[in-house]
Amino acid sequence: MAIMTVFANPHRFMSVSRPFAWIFTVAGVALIGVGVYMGLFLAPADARQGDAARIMFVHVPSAWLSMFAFAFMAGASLVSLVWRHALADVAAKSAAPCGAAFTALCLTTGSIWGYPIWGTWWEWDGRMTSVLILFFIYLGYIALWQAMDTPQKASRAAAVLCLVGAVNLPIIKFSVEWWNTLHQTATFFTGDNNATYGFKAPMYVVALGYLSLFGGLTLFNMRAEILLTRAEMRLQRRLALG
Amino acid sequence: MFDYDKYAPYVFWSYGIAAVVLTGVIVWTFVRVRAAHRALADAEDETVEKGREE
Repeated sequence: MAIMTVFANPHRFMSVSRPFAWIFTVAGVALIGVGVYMGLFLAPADARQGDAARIMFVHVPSAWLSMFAFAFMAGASLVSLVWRHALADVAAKSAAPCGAAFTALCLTTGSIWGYPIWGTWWEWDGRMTSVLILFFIYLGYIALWQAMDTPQKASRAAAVLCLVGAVNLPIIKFSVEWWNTLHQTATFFTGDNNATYGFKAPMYVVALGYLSLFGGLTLFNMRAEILLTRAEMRLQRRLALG
Repeated sequence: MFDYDKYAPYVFWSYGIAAVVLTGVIVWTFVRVRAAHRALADAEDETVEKGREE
């Protein structure tokens, strides 16, 4: 709560966020590079899927990030609606393009992985359909910000859409258990030791890189949003002065 | 190196698309930050000019 109050001030946020944005972005790119190297050169081929399994090192972390980004947006939207936190709207709005990009990446790499393993690019099963719906919710959220007359209306409507859309997150998570799907059930974070270190290491390094990149780009986007708001306010003041 | 048998095109397409998407979102973000700085600078210039006129 104290941290929330400290960063409620956009001026304070602008003064401290720049180095963090750079550090997270650079660290993210570096970690992704290391993880991709490990995935392409050091990880072993899978016993059943052969080298096609290497796709998971870019696919699975993007799926995690697509859900994490939306959960972050939902949290920020809740803070915005309940406490009217000055930066919560900005945070949710700024995270959306990055989250949509990770969701698009998840869908495309999943489709490419699916063809040699399942024999189809796409199947309307629970997991794939619910992730596609998440992608459309991201697009709807971004479009809603542009569609409203005033930022106040847009922020309220977008926050409500985000909270309603968050219902889709547990559906994505449990879709492979609730329905008979072509998509496999969870392999990581299940408690079962069904993935070796050779697979886990590149996966976690890329996931950490995606997370760091998401943090850095979201901070940069928040800074851009605040600068644009300041520019808009100055122009409005000028117009008001005549 | 890169001897991924029949799966090679699928692996390279996946990693290639990942590179394009991530590079795209990074470039888009920096272009947006730059545009925001320019918009604020323009707005400040106009405000200063207006003040001078008055």
